[in-house]
Formats: sequence, structure tokens, C-alpha cells
Amino acid sequence: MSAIHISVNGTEHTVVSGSTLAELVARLQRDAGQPDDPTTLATALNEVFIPRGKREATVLSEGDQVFTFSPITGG
Amino acid sequence: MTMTSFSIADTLLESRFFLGTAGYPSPKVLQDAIAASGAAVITVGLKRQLTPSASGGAGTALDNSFFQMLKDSGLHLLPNTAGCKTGREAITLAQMAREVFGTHWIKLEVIGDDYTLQPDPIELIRAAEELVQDGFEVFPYCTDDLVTCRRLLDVGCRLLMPWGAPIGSGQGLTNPHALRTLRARLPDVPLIVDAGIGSPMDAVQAMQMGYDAVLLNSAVSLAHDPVKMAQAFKLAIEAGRMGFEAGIMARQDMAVPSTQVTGRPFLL
Repeated sequence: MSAIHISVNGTEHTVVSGSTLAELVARLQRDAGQPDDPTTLATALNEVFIPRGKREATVLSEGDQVFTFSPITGG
Repeated sequence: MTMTSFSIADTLLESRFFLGTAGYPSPKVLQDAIAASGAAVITVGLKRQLTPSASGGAGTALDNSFFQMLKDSGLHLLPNTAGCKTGREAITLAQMAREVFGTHWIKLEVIGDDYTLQPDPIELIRAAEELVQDGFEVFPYCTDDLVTCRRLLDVGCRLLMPWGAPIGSGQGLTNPHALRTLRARLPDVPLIVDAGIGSPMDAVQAMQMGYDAVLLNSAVSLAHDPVKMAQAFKLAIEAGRMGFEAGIMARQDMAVPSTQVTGRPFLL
């Protein structure tokens, strides 16, 4: 299987070609020791919002920029 | 409806106090401050990150349990689009906030100047229009400029959040004349003073002007005792509102005796 290069929150990542955004989110949470819970963050691909329900169908491509956003305190 | 309750965005709220959640010494102090404030609406944010577990301090991540507590608290969450400099960024962040926080309310911030954090009115109006069409209830953080405010209403905003002073400055209401003008020219629009409030006195002033609510953060979170300050603001907001409803006497240039006397007491 070939690999593709993407960035996640500005950091380079390598994923298997054909990987979906949902798979990436699950892997990121696993790597960070977080519970596998897709509801605790929101995702954007190349600065476009990708709703939770569309992550499974979103296949990543070479050079994609993925952003994940999580809740913080705010004013 | 109780004395302090009011309706905004089709929602009955039991408090006119909107409280920010950033910059508290600890999650416990934040939790206690929220309780002491009696606020029905609290603001939250989103940050570009995965899901770290740290909590407390300015703009830090909400750990899952604390976030869940906020969601389960019955408080209305008002997510913001802090840090956005274009309408496009703000729209994307608003869409994310709707998904994560499960609310269509959005405090729309589009900053046009780094030094003053002054809103960019052009981008703000553009973003507000698109978000309203997308089903959001937009709480626009704006300046006190009357015409900008009118344009925000034109594109579908149902309420406005003009600043009292730059965010986090604690300067109070730096342009009371402009805020009074807004209140007078937009008598039927819910108006919330957002940003710049430094002391309970500022909140009293805003409420006595007839503003519908006050949103503040730093004045509580940076206080020596945030929990006590949250309560102080609660009382100030209630007192200011009561003063407004009761009707404040007109100022006089000269003294007007309040005790009726006939001449001087001992001079016949």
C-alpha cells in the first residue's frame, strides 16, 4: 500500500493511501491516549468544515491539510 | 416570568448576566463563579488542537468531564469565533462550534485590528448574513456604530452586542453617548454590552441605560476573588436593571430641597 503525506494542525503526517478522515481522527485520538470519541472535536479539510457524518466518506489526498478543533474556555 | 427574566432569541432567560469562562485560576473556581453569578448563558470557544486533558487558565482546553458538566448544566452555551480575521474563517468556525457544542447560537467575532481587537464591520456583516441564512442565531460582537448595527439587523441579526471598550481592557463604557444613542435608536432590539466592563459599576451603568444584558469575562476571572466578584456583578446587573425599570429621576442643575419647610425653622 502506498503512503500519502498530509498535515494535521500544521504537523506532517503519513497515512495509508485511501485513508478516510474518520480513520485519521480515530488514530489521532488513539495516539494521544484519548477515548475514541468523534463528538469531542470538529474537523476541517483544506479550511472547509467537514461535518462528523461526512468524515467516513472523506478520503484523504496527498497534500491535504487537516485541522481539528476542540472546546476551550472562552469569553 | 420572574423580575429578572427576559426573552432573547426566542429563549426565556432567568438572568441578564452572560459570563465568559476563560482565564480562571482553576476549573473549580470557574464552576463556583458560574454558580455565584446566576448566569444563564456562558461563553465558550474552539481551538485548533486535538483533545488534550489540561484545564483551567486562559483559553485552555476543556477536559471531557468538565465539558460534559457544562453541557449538562442546563446553561446556554454561547460559542465564540475568537481569533477570526475574515468572515470565511468565522463561518467555518461557527459551523464547527454548532457541531461540537450542539447549539445554533454563535457569538460572531471578526477582528479587524490586532491592537484594539476592534471588529471588522464589513467582514462581520458578510459573515452574519451567511450564518443567519444557514440557520444560526448570530450574536454579533460589534462596535457602538449605529449604522453598522443597523446593517447587522438588515441581514437578519435579531440582537446586537456592542462593545463597551476593547476586549479585556476593563475600561468600562468609554463612549456612553454612543451606547445611549444605540439604545434610543433601536428601542426594540435586544442589546447586550459585550467587552470592556471592568467593575460592577460599569454593569450598573449599562443596565441603567436600558441595555438588556451584560457579557463579561475578565472582570470576574481576573478579580482577586472571582467567585465573590461574580456575585457582585450579579447584584449590580440586577440593581441596574431595577433602577432602569423604576425610572431614574431627571438631573437638575441646582439644588432642589426634598424636605418641605416654611422658610427658616426658627425665623418667624
